[in-house]
Amino acid sequence: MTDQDIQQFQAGDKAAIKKLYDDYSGALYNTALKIVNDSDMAQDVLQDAFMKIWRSRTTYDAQKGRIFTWMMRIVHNTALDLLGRKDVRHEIQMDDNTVYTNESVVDGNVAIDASDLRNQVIRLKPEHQQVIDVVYFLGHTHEEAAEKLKIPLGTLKTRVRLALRDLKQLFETSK
Amino acid sequence: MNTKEYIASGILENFLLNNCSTQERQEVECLSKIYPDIKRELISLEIALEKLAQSQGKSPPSKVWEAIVNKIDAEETNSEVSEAEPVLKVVHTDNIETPKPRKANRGTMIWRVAASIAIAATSSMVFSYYQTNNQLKVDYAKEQAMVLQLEQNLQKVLVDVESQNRIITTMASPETQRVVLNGVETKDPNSAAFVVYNPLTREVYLNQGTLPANPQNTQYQLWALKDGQPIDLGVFDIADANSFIAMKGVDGAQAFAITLEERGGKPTPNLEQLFVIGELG
Repeated sequence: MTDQDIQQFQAGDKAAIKKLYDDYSGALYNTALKIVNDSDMAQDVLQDAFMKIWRSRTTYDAQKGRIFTWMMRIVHNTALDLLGRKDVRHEIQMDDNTVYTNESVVDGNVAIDASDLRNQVIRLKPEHQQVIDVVYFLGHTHEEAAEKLKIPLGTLKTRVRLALRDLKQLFETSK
Repeated sequence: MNTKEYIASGILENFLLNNCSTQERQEVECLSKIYPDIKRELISLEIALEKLAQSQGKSPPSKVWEAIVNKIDAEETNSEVSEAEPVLKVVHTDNIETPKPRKANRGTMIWRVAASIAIAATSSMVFSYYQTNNQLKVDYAKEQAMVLQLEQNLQKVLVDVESQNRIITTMASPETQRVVLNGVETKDPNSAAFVVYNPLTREVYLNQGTLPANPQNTQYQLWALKDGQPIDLGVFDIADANSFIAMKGVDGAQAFAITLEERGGKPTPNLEQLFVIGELG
């Protein structure tokens, strides 16, 4: 996903949104699944979210962050809307890190085979994976996350910071 | 500023995880524009989370994409594409409701109308000078003429603003009456016009509301009714811009009415062409 792809997407090029879908739908679908915990509903979420992504394509501002982050927010909001804004987000299982996709992950102009990432992610500590699931994939605030995981807020905050730091190092050393 | 400390404070993580206040959010956005190492840190965190999400991705069934692409095509064909860019709309006062009871609507009406005046006044003030030194050197005479024209425009705009300000002041004063003129049975009962009237200062301001456009050889004429006698308050055409226009002054008006007359109006109203009428409360 190059900058040019993104510009073309914003200009309304349908081939460009297909590319976005190819690159990111797996990650976004997984996020939706974690929130709604039902594959039919998650498919609806993905479909609705991509329509919103398409319709609001001109509102994405590259200055404010990566396009994936922007899309994640849309998926979050769509999932919550479909759940009727009730906090029905489900118990987090310790993710077994099974990956069902062989799609290439594109970082800038360099395509990275997802299987490499699979191996690395397994090295994430389970408690780190857990907090990232709650605050990133499910989009809870720190307060909500601490309540959900039944740990003190301070503990949660520390864990999040450590998790992100480890995660960052994980991907940096892989390069 | 000590960017290392800022990075170590954890605020960037909060920013990415949507766990910060609007103020903090703006602060991070701003600082990352100024300090490259903050921006770098933000991006590397963002990428790390993105790669995590990618690595755990699960392929959705192919029918999802088929549904999406069909919907996109369908929307384009039907030209029902909802525009993504937010459009700044000037608020018009053409949704004047017939108040039942009238008093209940006074509260919001006055502010909606005042807001639309403020917007109309502001938008009519927007203009800009384009200048470059080279252009000035090369074409000074042309610039002079343009400046003169712009000064004249400015004068006009200031006068407009002046009068709009007067209208707003009038509307806000307690003795001002707001009168809805409702459509008559024989014309369009759903149409309405609106008068703001201050009996002490004798000021009368008219809003054309939903009156239909008048044919070329005619004009609408506003009348005040006092002790059964009609008093001419001036003529007007339906304008594109929906705002308040100042009419002739009167005191002791008991009702207002609008008739359609030939251009220039008449000394007495043609009651067969009465469109809207309303009494003071």
